[in-house]
Amino acid sequence: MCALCAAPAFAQGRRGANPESAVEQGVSPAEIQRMFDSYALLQAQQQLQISDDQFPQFLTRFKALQDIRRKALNEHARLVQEMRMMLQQAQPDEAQLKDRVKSLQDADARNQLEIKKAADAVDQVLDARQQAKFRVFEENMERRKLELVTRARQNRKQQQH
Amino acid sequence: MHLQPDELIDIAEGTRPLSAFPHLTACEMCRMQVADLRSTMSMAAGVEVPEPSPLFWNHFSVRVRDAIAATPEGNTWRWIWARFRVPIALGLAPAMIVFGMLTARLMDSSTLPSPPSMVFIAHPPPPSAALPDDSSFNLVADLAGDFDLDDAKAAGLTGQGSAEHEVTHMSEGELQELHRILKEEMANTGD
Repeated sequence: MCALCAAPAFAQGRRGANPESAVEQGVSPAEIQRMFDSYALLQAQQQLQISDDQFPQFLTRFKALQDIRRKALNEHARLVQEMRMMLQQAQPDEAQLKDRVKSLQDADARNQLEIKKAADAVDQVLDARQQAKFRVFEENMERRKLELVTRARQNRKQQQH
Repeated sequence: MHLQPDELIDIAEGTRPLSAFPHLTACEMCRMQVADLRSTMSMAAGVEVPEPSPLFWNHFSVRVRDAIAATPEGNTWRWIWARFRVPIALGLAPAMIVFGMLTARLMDSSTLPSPPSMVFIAHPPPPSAALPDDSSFNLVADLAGDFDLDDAKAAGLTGQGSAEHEVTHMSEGELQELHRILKEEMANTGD
């Protein structure tokens, strides 16, 4: 029951209390990403059978894990993009390239540690069965989100015809 | 009675004042939850989100729309499979590897690989590397074998390979439709 209350609040993010306003004013990718977080939270609560006692802690820790992963992906993408730009130059500076590769390695290693810590924190809230379910759940959730993206595109295409 | 998660989030986001919840003055646990949430949100707000190359995504969007428009009605899934089977396989291969690894480690609570980051960062090991002889895995590995990251990016399934990343390439209409679907899904989940 907690999740039912929490998810819309997550989805609303900084938009305020009116969930309809996003549709009227246009929906940003960041808004959808927040909804994905809420959706994942709802599904996790249901599939992992998170109790009301567990939920507040699970909520904060799961969200922290999602945020840290997002930060790690963004940082990795940014550094790779920088290297791509450098490699497009006629004479890329080898010292700079080396520096970027090192930065990427450091960032990946640091982020992996942070992700591990955040994931461990989630584990601490869950019992062994829930920990196992959580791992399976994460795999399924990513697939499900991609399905929803595809469905949205198809629906939109049909609406245009 | 402790505060509900939506109330905690509202307080953390500042949409409802602390004074609206007298319970907070007496409950340290709830105060800690609010502090945790604020800390998380502050951390998330500091994340820099790099903009993708505008030129690349413009080209990509045009390509996808043209290709979808050229698809005969009713054959969308077949077209998607024909067009994207290798990138899809590329995306699934690491996920299957992760799943195999996780299955092997389920009883070890000290290890918790993170699927999205592993998909993004780790190179998949060769099929023979201590993985079960799974025919579906081998099929995926074969399909993905001769595709590099740039091919996957060109197909829209980038190194990130995530739904969140896909979202950044959607049109406004598609985003609105996804918004509607997600709301529907969440309502159904609550039933």
